[in-house]
Amino acid sequence: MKILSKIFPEMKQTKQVVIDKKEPTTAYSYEDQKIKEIFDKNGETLTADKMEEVKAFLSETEGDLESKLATIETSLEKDVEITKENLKAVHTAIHKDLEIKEALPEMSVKKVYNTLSKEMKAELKPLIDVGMSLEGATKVMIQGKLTELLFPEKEVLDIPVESKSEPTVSEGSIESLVAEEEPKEVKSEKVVESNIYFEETDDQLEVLEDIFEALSDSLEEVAEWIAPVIEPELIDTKLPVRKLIETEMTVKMAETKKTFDMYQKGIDSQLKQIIESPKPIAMKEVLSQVIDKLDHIIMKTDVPLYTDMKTERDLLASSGELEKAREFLDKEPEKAIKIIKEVKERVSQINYRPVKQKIYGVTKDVLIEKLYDEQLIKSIPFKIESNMQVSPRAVLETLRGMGINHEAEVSELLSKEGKELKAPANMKAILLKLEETADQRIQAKDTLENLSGQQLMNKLEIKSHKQKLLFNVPININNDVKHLKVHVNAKKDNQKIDWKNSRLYFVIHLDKLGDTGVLVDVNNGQVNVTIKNDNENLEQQMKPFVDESLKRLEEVGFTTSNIKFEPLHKEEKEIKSSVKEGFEVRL
Amino acid sequence: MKNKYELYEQEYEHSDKINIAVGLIEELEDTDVVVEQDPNKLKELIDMDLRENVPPQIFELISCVVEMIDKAERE
Repeated sequence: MKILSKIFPEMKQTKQVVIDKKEPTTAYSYEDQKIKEIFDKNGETLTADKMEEVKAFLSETEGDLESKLATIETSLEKDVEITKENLKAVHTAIHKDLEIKEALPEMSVKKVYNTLSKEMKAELKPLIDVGMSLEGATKVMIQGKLTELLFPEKEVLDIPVESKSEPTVSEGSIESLVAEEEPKEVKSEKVVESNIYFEETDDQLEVLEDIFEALSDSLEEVAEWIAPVIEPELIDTKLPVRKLIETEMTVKMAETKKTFDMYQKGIDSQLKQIIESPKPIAMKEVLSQVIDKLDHIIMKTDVPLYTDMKTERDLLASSGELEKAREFLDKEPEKAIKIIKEVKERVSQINYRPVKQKIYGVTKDVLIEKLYDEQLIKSIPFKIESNMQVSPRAVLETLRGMGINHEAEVSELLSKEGKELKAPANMKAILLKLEETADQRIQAKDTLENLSGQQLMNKLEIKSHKQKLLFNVPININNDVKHLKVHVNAKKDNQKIDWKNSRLYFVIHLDKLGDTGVLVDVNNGQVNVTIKNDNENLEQQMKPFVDESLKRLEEVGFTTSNIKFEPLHKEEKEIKSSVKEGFEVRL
Repeated sequence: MKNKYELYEQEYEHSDKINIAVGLIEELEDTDVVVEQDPNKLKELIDMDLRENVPPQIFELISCVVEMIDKAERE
């Protein structure tokens, strides 16, 4: 928050609690007075219970009074229930980075090694004797086991040459063995070209064969991933894991195709309906429904997880275009109809084509989930897939992976009758489980508090026409984790955020470029970008990338206008002087 | 004029949401799924579904800025 308020002093203006120099009779009564003022300002009654919660928060939380009072005010504005725990969480989310490494300290291979049986330790010994580290050896053992689980036939094929030429095998059998081997080789060649589109006519099982071949290449990576959470049972298991995954993937692929077809058909017929009988009032409603459908495919279905980037961008652009059409309806209906026709054409032409690379990613996740379902691993290992730059869905998946949507998803799962209740695989779910074991409680606490705090800050502001959001996201830049804070401030129409009228503040500390703030201000779909940084060459360095990003935004329905580069130090001085003049913090 | 039932409505909403939260915790008791256990916190976390209440365009803006920062820092 310190960096945030330095970079964007306006962010702080509404929150600033000016503590004047008037001498308090006692420190406590002064504090009480300030608390009461904040409650009054927000039209909330300060009951004795609430005062007690606030007091507990103030005394148990580190930091200055000013920032803690600001947290109380923010919480009241968000209509968050005033309890000590809620205030602490909001305070953590606003002021601290989301630390992940510290949160998952128990995940070491050494602990796993201690749970292994004598026999297994004996199996590892020869590997360690040849100079391998314990970690390395454990991973090799797990990799071997995974290979057995997924490719039982490989075991047969890998049997040394003499088994093929054993005298007891009839001539026919030898031929069939050789014949069996040939197509396998062809398949492994296919794997090399891993980014080919599938024709719809392709047999799904054949597709899966390729995916499994690709998976065998990456088992080392999977082994490394699951090594710290392995259960010793995995080593003895004879479960048909491959079969389980094959079945699941076949079902998933068929379902996704069906989902897409259904949406595509629905959108096409609704747009056809409004083109054929354009009645303005009904059109608005139908257009909103179609926009919701498009957004739903992007955000909630598996379609973007299987298809190429173009599909996701076509859907996003269509959603943006229809939003424009909806605005033209009243004043320029012809223009609206023209856009609607174009979108109808575009959506109907989207050819649902799963991309091999993406299915491969899903299969890897399914493998991990299956191992967890079969209780062969203790938890679903968490890995931040820091690829937010790729697409909106990738951003959403990163946030979901952190667990910022955890409770909403569980609550939705419970409301769906007959649906199998399965814990969503995210970091929060893992930490909540860890918390159940006493020794992990403290380490996980800060991270959990931060995640819940973000969720509290993202609370749906049901009665308001605006919505605020806060995301603390660790992102990977140059193999180093950096902490990105994003504040979103947007107008809201019904319960959906109006992206055409929103403000996004980004704050990050970078090694090379230093403290950097980015303000993205969207007014009626027009984007203005302000970049704040003290690096002299920044404009020259960054301009081409900003231009690229703006072009990307134009493709999906934004219009772009202005880029401004501003230094940070100016604001810093202003803040310093205002601190001198106006604030005195007492505790 | 202030709605004279407002206070009751607020009360109702409050108890209703707490009930949902408590119900959720109870329902999950014997399952493998864990959620926030403090009902006063949990009740605030279930309304917002990022998949439904936030349009993809907001995430596209975030995605673009991350791309921009990432490229500039790598340069």
